Amino acid sequence: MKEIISTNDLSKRVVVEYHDEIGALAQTFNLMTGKLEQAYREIKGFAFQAVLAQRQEKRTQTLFGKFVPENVIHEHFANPEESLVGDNRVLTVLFSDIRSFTTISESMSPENLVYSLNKYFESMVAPIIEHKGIVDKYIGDAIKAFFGAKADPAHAENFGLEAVRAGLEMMEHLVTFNVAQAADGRPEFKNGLGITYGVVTIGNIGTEKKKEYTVIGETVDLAEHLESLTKEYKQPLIISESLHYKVKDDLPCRLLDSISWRGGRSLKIYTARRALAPREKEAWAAHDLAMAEYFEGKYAKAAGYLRDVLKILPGDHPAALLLERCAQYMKTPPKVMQAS
Amino acid sequence: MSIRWKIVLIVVPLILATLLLTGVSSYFSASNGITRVAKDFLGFKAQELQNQAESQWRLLVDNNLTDKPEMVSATQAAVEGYARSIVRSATELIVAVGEDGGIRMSTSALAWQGDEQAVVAGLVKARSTDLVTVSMGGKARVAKGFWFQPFGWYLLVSEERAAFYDMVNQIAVRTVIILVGAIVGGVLLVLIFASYLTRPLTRVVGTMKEIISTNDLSKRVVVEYHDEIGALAQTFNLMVNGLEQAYREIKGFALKAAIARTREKKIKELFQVYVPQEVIDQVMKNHGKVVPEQEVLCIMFSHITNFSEVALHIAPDELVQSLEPYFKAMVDSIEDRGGMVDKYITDAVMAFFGAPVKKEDDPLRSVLAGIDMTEALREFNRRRESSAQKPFNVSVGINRGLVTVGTIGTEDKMSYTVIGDPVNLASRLSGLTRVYRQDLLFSESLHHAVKEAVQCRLLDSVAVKGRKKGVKIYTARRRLEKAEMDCWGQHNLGMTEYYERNFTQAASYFRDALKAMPGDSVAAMLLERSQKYSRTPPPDEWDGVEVMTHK
Repeated sequence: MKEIISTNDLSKRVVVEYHDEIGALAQTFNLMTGKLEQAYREIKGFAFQAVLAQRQEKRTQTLFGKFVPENVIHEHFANPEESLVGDNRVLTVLFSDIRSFTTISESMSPENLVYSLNKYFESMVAPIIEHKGIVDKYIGDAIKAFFGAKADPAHAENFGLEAVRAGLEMMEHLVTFNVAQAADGRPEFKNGLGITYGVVTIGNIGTEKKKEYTVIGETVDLAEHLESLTKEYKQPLIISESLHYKVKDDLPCRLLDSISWRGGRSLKIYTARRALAPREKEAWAAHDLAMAEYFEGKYAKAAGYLRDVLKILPGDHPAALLLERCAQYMKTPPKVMQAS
Repeated sequence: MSIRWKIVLIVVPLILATLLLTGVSSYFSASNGITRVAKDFLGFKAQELQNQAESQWRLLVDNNLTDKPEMVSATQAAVEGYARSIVRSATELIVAVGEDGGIRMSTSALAWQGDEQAVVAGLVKARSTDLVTVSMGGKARVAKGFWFQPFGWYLLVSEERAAFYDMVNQIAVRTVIILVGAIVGGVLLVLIFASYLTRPLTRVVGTMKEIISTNDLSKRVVVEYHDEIGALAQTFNLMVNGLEQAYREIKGFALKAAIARTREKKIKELFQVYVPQEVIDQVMKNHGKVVPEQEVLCIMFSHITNFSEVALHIAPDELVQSLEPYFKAMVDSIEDRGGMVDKYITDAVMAFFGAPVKKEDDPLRSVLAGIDMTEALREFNRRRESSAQKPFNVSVGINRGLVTVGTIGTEDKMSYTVIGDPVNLASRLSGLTRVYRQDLLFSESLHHAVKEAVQCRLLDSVAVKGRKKGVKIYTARRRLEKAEMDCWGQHNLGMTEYYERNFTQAASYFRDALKAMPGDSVAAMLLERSQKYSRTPPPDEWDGVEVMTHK
């Protein structure tokens, strides 16, 4: 008996030789050993099952997480009832698109295209994730992302700044990506980024059958619109006026223009950099002075500052664009004044 | 059989044997001793009587009085007197018998019964001097006799057998009493001792059985003794501990497994709402991704053309609620026809047919789904208008072509989607609806697959923005009213002439089409264009393609 216990060899049994208390004891002991053995076997089985089930759960969750933001799972388990309620929140929305992707894609084999696109997404998504953003979806070659949904409301986090930093990192990553592309004999990608800050409706949008955790609203549309403007202003990054307030103390910003947005509202648009070279700094300061004069309707004065900008930074597109416009307005002043 | 009884079975016979042997041996030694004394005594008396009788007779012989009968009688009387004097108790008897066994003298009254006289006569005849047991006067007697020739008497000194063996019997009775007492006492002691000895064992076994039968593992055997049984109890407790722990572990693991399974099920259910089941299955099977492959698919885009306008009048959070029935109508139409909803892009729905599951009639399915969607939307808008809400103007664009389908993206964000030029064209077609004022547009790549099944109308040949190559675009209906039928028939004839550069002929068909359906914008547009080209014909390389400069 002790042998069984000490060696833990549960396959051993005490031989039942007598039908007395010792026999009963031996039988009881055998029963017990049998149960223990069975229990240990069951433990192994159950432990295996538990591990398997947990691994499966993890696998499913990981897989899910690849397709759908983790927030969805967490919010679902925290609050299973409210799954289709839109929530109005102030967030930062980022839109990125590859310039003339259609043309680029025509020149590539499908395998090459998928490969390049995956590499591109990899280098673009990493900064978004790093700055606590959520990639909403890919729309063809475009990336839609938002920042601030993961943020703890009690913890005042500047997700506006996080988003712009992510955007700047994306531009830097693109350079690295293009080096690799060129090295492999693949075409380079150029992209544009539009980032806005404002109220969006966030939630699981769609129907019971097909939902998407996404953001919709004017702020989202504006981000897309700003992204499309990057071509016109030849700037890789354009941020909205509201976002500018969030980042201007931390990053050098440059007022690009005032655009007309839905309902005839005018909105200032900016670009931002991580840091400026001394010459750029000087140019940007002159540009800001020019913009101030421009909005005052003092086109001649503005044109003077803009020429200074172009002297410091020859070929600077936003300055050239504004200068052209000033020259035009000096001849024929605009009917409706640009709101300042 | 329990140990107690085993002990009793072993020990009691031992006690019994010992006691019986002792008893029997002491009985025999005692009775032997007593019997020998009694025999000697009886023998001694007989000797004395013989001596007396002989000395009396010698007196007669010495005095030569043997022939005097009165003297012989006196001597006989003296012998009898002596005999009487040596009789000490009523149970003793001295008797003299003749050769025939007849009684000559007796110390107490005696009469032969039955064949007693013959037996005694036998002894007389044999001149027996042994100690014999004979029956005299109906009583068994132990006797010793001798022949006395001068008198012709056979004298028997006897004692009642009962009295003779009285002491022996008493010893036997006492021995038996002692033996029985000892045995009973011994057995009782053994029983008590055995039960004392086995009690802890019984208790241990009892508790064990109880634990096993009730499965109540919280119970323990009480360890009372520091002997083998104590060790046993302790061992058993160790085992119960082990078992209890094992069961706890089982429960723990089972619970963990159950929780994980429930969570996984929930996640899967939730997952399914975001990603179609077929895609999940494929992705699971292929280690987290579906390697993108080239497939001919039908790609569909649908969007609300007046969404910004509609959205302006709805509070943003209510927008989600009001979009729900729209999405439901779209998704149901697509899924019912076997399409897969790829994503929502704000108000737009992107879907495709032919992946992850391919069906032979995917092109027709996609167009039928498009028709279903526009019909469902008309129904949806009737409800909206009846509650004084702005209708959602929807437009559906479908294109078919070789695209790349599979999982695209990174570990952090994966999408099962399609990319490729045909996708962009589908999107552009969906945007073109406002130009042609149609809620459904599809490209020529689908036309041949559906023309037999539904009513089609060729609308134009266009090169969407950023593209030189033109594509014929069509719209379709499940069935047409009479007027529509005429209009579409004339229009399609007009288109044929138009591409043949027979612009005057084309214009007349378009006019007929307009007659059938006054205000038909497509016919009006083509009529205008035909009239323009009939005045100033297009260049030779004209192939009927309208180049779009807007998205």
